[in-house]
Amino acid sequence: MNKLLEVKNLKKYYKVGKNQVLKAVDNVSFTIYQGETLGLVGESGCGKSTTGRTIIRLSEATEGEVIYQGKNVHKLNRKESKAISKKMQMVFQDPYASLNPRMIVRDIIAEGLDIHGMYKGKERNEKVYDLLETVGLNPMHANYYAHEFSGGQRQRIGIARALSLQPEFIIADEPISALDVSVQAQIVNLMMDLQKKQNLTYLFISHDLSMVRLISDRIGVMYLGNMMELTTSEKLYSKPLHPYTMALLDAIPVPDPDIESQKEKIQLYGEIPSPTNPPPGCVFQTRCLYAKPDCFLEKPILKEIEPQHFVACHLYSKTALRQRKEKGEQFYKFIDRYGKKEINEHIVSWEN
Amino acid sequence: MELLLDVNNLSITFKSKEKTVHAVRNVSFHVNKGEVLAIVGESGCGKSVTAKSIMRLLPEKTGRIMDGSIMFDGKEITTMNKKELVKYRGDRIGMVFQDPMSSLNPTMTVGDQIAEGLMIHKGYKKKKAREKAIELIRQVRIANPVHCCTKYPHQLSGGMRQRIVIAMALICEPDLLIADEPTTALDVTIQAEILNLLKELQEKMGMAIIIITHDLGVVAKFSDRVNVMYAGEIVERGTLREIFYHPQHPYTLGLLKSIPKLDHDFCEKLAVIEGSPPDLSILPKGCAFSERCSHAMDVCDQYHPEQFDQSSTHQVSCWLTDSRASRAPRVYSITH
Ligand SMILES: Nc1ncnc2c1ncn2[C@@H]1O[C@H](COP(=O)(O)OP(=O)(O)OP(=O)(O)O)[C@@H](O)[C@H]1O
Ligand SMILES: Nc1ncnc2c1ncn2[C@@H]1O[C@H](COP(=O)(O)OP(=O)(O)OP(=O)(O)O)[C@@H](O)[C@H]1O
Ligand code: SF4
Ligand SMILES: [Mg+2]
Ligand SMILES: [Mg+2]
Repeated sequence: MNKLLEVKNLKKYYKVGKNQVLKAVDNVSFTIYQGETLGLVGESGCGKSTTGRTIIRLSEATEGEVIYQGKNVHKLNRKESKAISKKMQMVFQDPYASLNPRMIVRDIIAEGLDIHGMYKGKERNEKVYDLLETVGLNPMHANYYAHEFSGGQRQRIGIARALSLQPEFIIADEPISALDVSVQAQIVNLMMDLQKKQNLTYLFISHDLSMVRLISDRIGVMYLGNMMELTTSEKLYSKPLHPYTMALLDAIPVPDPDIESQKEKIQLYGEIPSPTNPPPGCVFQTRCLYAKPDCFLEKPILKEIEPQHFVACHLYSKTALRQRKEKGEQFYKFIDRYGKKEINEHIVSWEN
Repeated sequence: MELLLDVNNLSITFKSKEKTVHAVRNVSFHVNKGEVLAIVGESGCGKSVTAKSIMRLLPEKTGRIMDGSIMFDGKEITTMNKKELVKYRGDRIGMVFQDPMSSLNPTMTVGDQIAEGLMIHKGYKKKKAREKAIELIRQVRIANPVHCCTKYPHQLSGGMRQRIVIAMALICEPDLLIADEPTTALDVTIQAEILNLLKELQEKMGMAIIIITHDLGVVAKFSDRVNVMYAGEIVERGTLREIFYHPQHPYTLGLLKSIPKLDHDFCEKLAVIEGSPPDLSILPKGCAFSERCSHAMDVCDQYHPEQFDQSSTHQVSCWLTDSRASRAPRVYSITH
C-alpha cells in the first residue's frame, strides 16, 4: 500500500492565560495509506479536530511534520500550496458555524469552483445540482439560504462543498454527528461509494464508535492530545488492548431496551484531567483501572505490540510482559470493570 | 401519574417572502412528572422547533405558533406575556440547545453564566451562586471546575461547552428539562456519565425530561416513552418497548433497521431509507412519508392517514394499521 500522508511527531500547543500551555496535540504520529479510511476517535477535547486542522494547515503546527505524497505540507510555496489545497478538503464538525448564512446554497457549494475558476454559467449550475443530488438534497434547494436548513441538511451542504473540487483526500470532522440515523447511514454509504469510485482517502473523525467501525479500515484512539491505540478496525473491536479503548467500547449504548436495562450502571470514576494540566506519566492514569506505579511516573510511548497493532500503555512494556510470563500468566485478562459476565482474554505474543 | 406538560394540536410555521414552511403540524403529546420522553426523527422534521416553542423561543419575526396549546403545569404557555415567561424559562423549564454556542454569552465567563440563573430566579447572592455553580460543573465531569469557571466560552472545546450548557440548564433544578441532542458532542464514556447524572437528578428531584436525540442507543438506555416525528408530525408514539419491539410505522421500522450494530459486518452497507423528506413549504396531500415508503398504497398518496390506536399508549398514523388495509403486510418483525 502506498503512503498518502504521514504525520510525524505532530504537536499543537496553545498559549492560554498568562503562562499556561495547552497541549491540544502532543507528539502524534501516524500514516494514512492511499484509498483507506483512517478513523479517529476519542473524547471531546482530545485533539481530534486540531489534528485535522493542522494537517490541512488551517492552523500552524507547533512542531512536527505532515508529509503528503512525499512533500512537507507545511513548507510549500504558494503555488504548491494552492495545488494541494484542491486535493485536500475538509468537512467541518459544526454545520451551523461553517456555512455562511448570507449566501445561497448554490454559491456556497460553488465557492471552491469559483476560487479555482473551474466551471462557469450553465456548467456550474449543473455541477451544483449534481452535487446536491449526490448528498441527498433537492436541486431546488440551490436557491435557499443556509439558515433555512436544519442542522442535518446543512451538513450535507458542507459535504457537497467538499466534494466539488474532486479531492483525493477528505478530512471529515464529525460529518455525521448532526444527522440522525437514517441519514447517517445514507451519508456513510455515500462516502463509501464515493471512496470506491474516486479512490478517495479519508480521515474520518467521529465519536460514534459503531459508525467509525463501519467506515474505517484502521482506527486511532486519542486521549488528551495523545494517540493511545492504533490498529485495524477488526482488531480494535475484537481485541482492544488499551484500557481506555475498552472503557469506550463498554460505554456504547445499545439500541435495545432489554440489553440496556440489564447493563449495570456505570459508577463515576476518576477525575477527568484538564488539558492545561495533564497528569504526569500516562495521561489516562487518573481514570485507569489498571494503573500501576510506572504509570504515574513515565509516559508510555506508542509501540507496535503486535503486527499492525500500536498501543501506548505500560501494561505492554517488555518488563510487564516478562513479569507476567514469569508469574505463569499465559494470558492477559481484562475482566470487564462493570462486572459484566463477558471476559475478554487477550493473548499478547511474548516475543515483542 | 401527574401531568406536567400537555401539548395539543400544535402547528408552527415559518414565513418568509417567498414561502411558508410548515415546520410542525398538528402535534399532540404529553409529559408526566418525573418521566423521560424521547423525540426521534429525521433531521429537519421539527424536533428542535417543537422544543423551542415550549420555551417560546422561536425567532420572533418569522416563526409563529399558528394553532394549538401548550399547557405547562396547568398554565397556557402560548399566550403568556414576557414577564410570566421569565418565571418559566430557565427556572421551571431548563433547556439544553442543540447548538451550545447559541445559548452562551461570549462576553461572560461560563461560571458567571451558570450562577446567573440562581441570582435571577432564586435570589442567591453572588458568592453562594458561584459555589453552587462550581459544584455543578464538577458534577458534569469537568476537571478543575474552579479554573473552568473563569473561562470564556470560546476557550472551551465543543464537548466542554456542551457540559457547561447542561449545567446551566440544571442549575435551578427545573421540573422539566428539555435536552436537544445533549450528548451528541461527547464521547461515550462521558455521555454515559452525563446520562447517569441526568437520570439520578431525575429520580432524586422528580424532574421530567424531554430528550431529543438521533442515537437510538441513548433512547433505549434512557427513556420511558418515545415520539417518532416525520416531516413535522408525530407518526408513531408509544412506550419504549412498543417502539423498539413492535414498531408499526414503516418509518420507525426503517429507522431501527438503519442503526449499525457492533456485530454488523465490516464494509457491509447499512440499510437506508431512500430519498429525503419532503419540502415542508409544499404540504403533501396524503401521507408525508408515502414517497419513500415501500409499503405505500393508493390511499396513502391521496388521504392523510388517521391516527390508529394500537394500545392505550401506542398510536400510529399509517394506513397500514387501518383494519381495511388487509392486503398490506401488517406484521413487521424486527430482529436484534
Ligand atoms: N484556538 C484555541 N485556543 C486555545 N485552545 C484551543 C483552541 N482550539 C482548541 N483548543 C483546545 O484544544 C483542545 C483540543 O480541541 P479539539 O477541538 O481539537 O478537540 P476535539 O477532539 O475535536 O473535541 P470535540 O469532540 O469536542 O470536537 C481542547 O482542550 C480545546 O479547548
Ligand atoms: N428560523 C427558521 N426559518 C425558516 N425555517 C426554519 C427555521 N428554523 C427551522 N426551520 C425549518 O423548520 C423545519 C424543522 O427544523 P428543526 O430545526 O426543528 O429540525 P430538527 O428536527 O431539529 O432537525 P435536526 O435533527 O437536523 O436538528 C426544517 O425544515 C427547517 O428548515
Ligand atoms: S499506561 Fe497505565 S494508566 Fe495508562 S492506560 Fe495503561 S495501565 Fe492505564
Ligand atoms: Mg472536534
Ligand atoms: Mg434540531
